[in-house]
Formats: sequence, C-alpha cells, structure tokens
Amino acid sequence: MAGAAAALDYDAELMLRVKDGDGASFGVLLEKHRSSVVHFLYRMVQNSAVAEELAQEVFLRVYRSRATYEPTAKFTTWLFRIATHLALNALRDNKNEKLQDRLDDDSSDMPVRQVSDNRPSIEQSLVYEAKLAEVRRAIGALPEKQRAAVLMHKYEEMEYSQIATVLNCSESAVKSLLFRAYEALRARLAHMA
Amino acid sequence: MENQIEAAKRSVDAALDLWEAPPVSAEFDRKLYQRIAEEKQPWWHFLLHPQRLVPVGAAAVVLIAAGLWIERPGVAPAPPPHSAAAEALPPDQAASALQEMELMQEFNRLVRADAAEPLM
Repeated sequence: MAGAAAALDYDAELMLRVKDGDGASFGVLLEKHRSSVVHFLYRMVQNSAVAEELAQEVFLRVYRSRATYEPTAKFTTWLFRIATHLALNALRDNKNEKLQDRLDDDSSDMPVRQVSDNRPSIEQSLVYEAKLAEVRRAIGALPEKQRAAVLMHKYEEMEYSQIATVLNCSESAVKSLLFRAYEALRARLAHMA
Repeated sequence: MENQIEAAKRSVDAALDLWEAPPVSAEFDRKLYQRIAEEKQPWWHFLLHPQRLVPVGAAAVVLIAAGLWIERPGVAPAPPPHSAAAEALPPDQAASALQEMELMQEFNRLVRADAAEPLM
C-alpha cells in the first residue's frame, strides 16, 4: 500500500532523481516545500531565525540522505518527520535558553497584517495584535506532540495517517491528540470565535 | 471521533487563521546551498586555502609549547616521599645509632650542669 501511494508521489520521484545525481530536482523539492517547512517550524518554536536554521538542517538532511533514500512513505511525511524531530529536539534543548523566553513573548516576528482596507486604525491593530498574541500563547501552551499534530493538521492539512507516521504513533492516538488539543484551544480562544 | 475533531477545529479555525507565518528570508536558499557545497568539499580542500590552516597551526603551537614546558630539563623531578621502608636500618646500625644518641644526651647533661654552677 505504501509502495502504491509512493508510486503516485511526484515528490518521491523527484527525490529518486536527486539520488541519481540530478541536483535540479532537489531545487524543485526545495522550492515546493521550503515555505511549509519553515512555517511549520516557525509555529513550533515561535522564532523565525531558529525556524530557518532548523529548516536548513531539514533540507540538508534530505540532501545527505539522497543516496539511501527509499520511497517507503510519502515524501512530505518523511520531510515533516525530520522537521518534527528537529523541532522537538530544539524545544527540549532550549528550555533553559533564550528560545523559551521568546516562546513566551516574541512579538518581533509578527507579520504586519492589514485588518481592513489599507490602513487599519490603531485600535484595530492593537486588537489584532492582542488576539494574535493570544493565539500564539494558546498554541505555545499545548504539549509539544499536540502542538505538532495541530500544526500539521490545521496549517499543512495533513491526513491522520501521515501525522501518525510523522509522530510515530497510531492513527487513533493522533485523533486523541488532536481532539484534546483543539478542545484546549477552544477553551482558551472561545471568546475570539 | 473524526466529526468531533472537525467540530472542535471549526470552533477555533477563525482564531488560528489570524496567525500568519512571516515570509522566508531571501538568504535561505543561498545559505543552504553554501552548506551543501561545504559538505561536498574533499577532506584535503583546506590545503587549497592556507588561511584556513591558521587556527590549526595555532592550536598545534600551543600543544607543542605545553609539551615542552612539561618536559623542560631544568626541572628536577620531585623527590619520592619518605617511607617507613626507606628509613629502616639494619639492627647493628640501629644499635650504634642508639649508643651515639645516649652519648649525646650524656654530653648535653654535663654541659647543662656546668652552665648551672655559679662562676666564682
């Protein structure tokens, strides 16, 4: 079944070309997945510099593994498995360092967003920033595995089976993780609905 | 279960949609390809860039200097600690040593006695 799925996976085909020495295919994979990997890592660690550093490591590991690559699963599953592994390690390693401080309060990476029209009022901007900070805190407060599961499900639209492979657990465990995570978020963010 | 998850997700979708990730920096690809290029270098590539040998050379000099300092010829090795075995004497030598000590004690007594007598 995994083999059949992989046969349809264009990314896996590209990776096999990289394995055969086609550097351009690596460029295509990078172009296709760069943003999603960086954004996933950014939401995991909530620091854009750290996220980019980790994302570089992800793609570097993909490149290093080209010789031994076997398309046993979807390419994105493999990619996010590497990314999640690095993110969880970084979160654990940096618990006593500045990363954790930034997790609590890092507003420097907030993208500027127009709430309405071209010029949001100061009040609208303040309300938006307050809401955004609340969302970040709510996600940051989730246990690491729940956080990873929610980010893959919500922002990357990954299937339960893929998330299960990434997190190395069963599909039912993923569903349980997701349900608890969304319930926790609902409790904290209900007033924003 | 899946319906419950979707319902819970829908309730927070709007809030989570507020959180946009910042754009990836323009330097991302360049840095990545630079790291890949560095990994591709053969082990002897630094020979082509002598300036990269400076830190290695400095470390070697420090190591050699430390080795020479430790092994410098002017420094006498520390004397071995005295032990009971080293101080043990043969029985005949011990007896003569005791005799000498007794003679010295007798001599000291006589000297003190002379010194105690008032001079006339």
